[in-house]
Amino acid sequence: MSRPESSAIRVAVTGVGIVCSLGRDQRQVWGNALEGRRGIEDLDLFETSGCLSRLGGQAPELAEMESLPREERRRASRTDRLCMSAALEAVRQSGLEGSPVLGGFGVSLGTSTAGMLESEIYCRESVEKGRDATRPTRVLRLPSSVPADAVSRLLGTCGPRLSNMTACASSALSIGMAADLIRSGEVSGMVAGGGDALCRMTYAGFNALRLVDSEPPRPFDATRNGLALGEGAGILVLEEWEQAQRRPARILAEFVEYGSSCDAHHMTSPHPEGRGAASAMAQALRRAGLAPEEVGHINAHGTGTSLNDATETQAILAVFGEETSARIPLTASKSLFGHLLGGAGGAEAVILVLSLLHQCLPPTLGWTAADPGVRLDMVARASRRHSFSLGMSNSFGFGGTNCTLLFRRAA
Amino acid sequence: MSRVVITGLGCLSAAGCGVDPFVAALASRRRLGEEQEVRAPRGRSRSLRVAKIPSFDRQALLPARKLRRMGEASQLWTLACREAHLHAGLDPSTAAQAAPPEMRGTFLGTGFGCTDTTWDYLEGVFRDGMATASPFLFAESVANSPAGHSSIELDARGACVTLTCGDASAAAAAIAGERALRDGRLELAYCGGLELMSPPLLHALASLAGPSSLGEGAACFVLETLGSARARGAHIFAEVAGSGMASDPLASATSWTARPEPIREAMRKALDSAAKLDPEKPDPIGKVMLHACGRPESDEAERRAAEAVCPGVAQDAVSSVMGTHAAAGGLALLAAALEVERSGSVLLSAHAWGGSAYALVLRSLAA
Repeated sequence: MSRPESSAIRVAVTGVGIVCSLGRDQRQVWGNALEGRRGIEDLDLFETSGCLSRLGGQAPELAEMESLPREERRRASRTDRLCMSAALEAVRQSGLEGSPVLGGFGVSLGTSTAGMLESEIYCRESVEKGRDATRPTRVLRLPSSVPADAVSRLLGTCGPRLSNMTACASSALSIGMAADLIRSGEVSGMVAGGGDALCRMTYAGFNALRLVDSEPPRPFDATRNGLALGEGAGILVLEEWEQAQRRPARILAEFVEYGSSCDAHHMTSPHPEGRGAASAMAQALRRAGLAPEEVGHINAHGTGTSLNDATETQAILAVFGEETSARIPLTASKSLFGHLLGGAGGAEAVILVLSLLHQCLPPTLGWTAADPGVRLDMVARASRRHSFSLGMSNSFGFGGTNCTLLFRRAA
Repeated sequence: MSRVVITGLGCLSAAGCGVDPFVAALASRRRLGEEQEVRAPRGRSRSLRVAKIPSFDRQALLPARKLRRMGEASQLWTLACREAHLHAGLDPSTAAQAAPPEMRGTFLGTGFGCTDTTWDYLEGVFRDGMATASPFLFAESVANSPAGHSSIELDARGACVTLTCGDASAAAAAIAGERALRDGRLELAYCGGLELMSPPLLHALASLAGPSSLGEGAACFVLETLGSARARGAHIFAEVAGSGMASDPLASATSWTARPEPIREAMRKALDSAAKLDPEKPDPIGKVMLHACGRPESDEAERRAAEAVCPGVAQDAVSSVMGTHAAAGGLALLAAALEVERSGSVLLSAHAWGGSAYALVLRSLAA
């Protein structure tokens, strides 16, 4: 099929960085993911008493961030540090650290809570001691633009800067919008993705909405009962294909297209038929000029809540049909490290790129049986060797927002 | 590549509800808002002038049952979108003539988002415990809840995006929306900004050596492809003719500190890239609308950057009337769109405290 709408500029992925509860870099995360180790356990980042669940995917401390200048360390929120760590790893892998080429790059990051963990201290002190006794400068870590600013500052990038706070689709959208900037010819490369730290606001909120499970999540399993929150960041170096070849850089994968949509249905519940999710997947394929049968793997949004997984299943069936859906291996990374909210799309894009690179799919933990009457090829219990060239990653969020990313194996 | 035009405007500002009071306030050049003594840390206080959106009858615009499901930020943004929607001639009876729902999207920019609701929610969490958190307040604390609500209200099923970049948030959203239309992802988008001055935010801003005149606002623009607008015979206010983005990596992410040279260079690059109009249609810039945040170093850097790109062209700013941060709410962009009729082509400058710079060119379609 032809490419009717996209520009001729191809987008290469030349570096990835990830930090989450499975580890502080791609070697650790990928190794643990393939072995099916779960990074979800009782939290100790903050008190969780009274909540339905005490589980979470808490990221390890980042020793490398201790080498930042004192003032920078003092200012950086936990989310900033997660994003900076992943960005640094991605840039190092791309071979661009210290290169003047990096100065012309832009940064496009997504987050849902940014410096909320630190800003909460202001609110708590305000309740306990009164507003006059608090340090309001903590509020200044709250804006969701701060992680992108911090990464740009760390890397010395002078190009366009975008900060997306579109809930759980934030970092997936950030990757898609970054690729658009490269394809428009405005910039030769972007550092894109996103991250989120755990915080009381989201932890209490998902508990209040009764979307969490006191047991580890079991995405797409018939007995699934909710999600587990996690934290971390996933960041990619996206680059104009020809520039990457000229440098020469090792091209890990190709970013192909993205689709985005809105359910326009409900603030916190997905459309019952997965209308928006299906629209995002179909749009990505249509814009790329690809047929559904060409997709070799889907990294699902797969939160583990009853409604989310049921509607995502319906959306997949609507786009791919029953037969094709039954033979596309499906994984849900959130079973390994929890739901990274604004960072989910970035981290799961990194997992997809690594899956394409290594031709291997990490398992979906906790899955034993699908919903009655549903045939999906879940990669469960153990990782699977899988030869494929095109992968899809889904991210859906509150407000009904949806984003689907497509990546191809580097030829 | 599609050409992108503005066909509808909606606005809530300190001047009142609607575009007309906004136009009248700009014409009067009278500084809006009231002086407030805001307590700063360690027993100090600071006098801030705050131009807040006055109260108005919201139920006359949206049923109470819908308003009840929305937090303050969601209400204001949805009402601004609804006004722009009607202004564009897209009332329900003619909506069928516009783009299909899947090709209608939303791009909202906001610097601080729903901080008022977030603080109500968190105070409850810290006062009564995590187990008593309010699911409604939590959902309304999520930054893209305003865009989610407006998408439901207007059945916009295309991309629904919330961007943030301090005072430049609305400009960033307009640029992203324009690109989505230009690239064929959408045919129509509700774009703009929202910024509210909540008490915790004022408390924080009072502790900084930042501007002393602050403002809030919500402004929405209906962007359409030229083809879609012409097909339904819409009135066209302006064309989005160019845009640019750049950044200063030396600016501090959490303070107003910026060294003049790098931030000026970022501003210059953004303005220059936006002003590079189609060489086949040379169209000199008639006016530059500056961000003018009120910090002398930033304002001087911006003024000089604009002068370097558009020498001798008249410069203006709405921040002196509406207050700093109102730009995040899209009011500077709105003023630029309204100025097109007089000046033919307007270059808008926007920048944020983390060192990001954005620029847009709006021009008359006749130009």
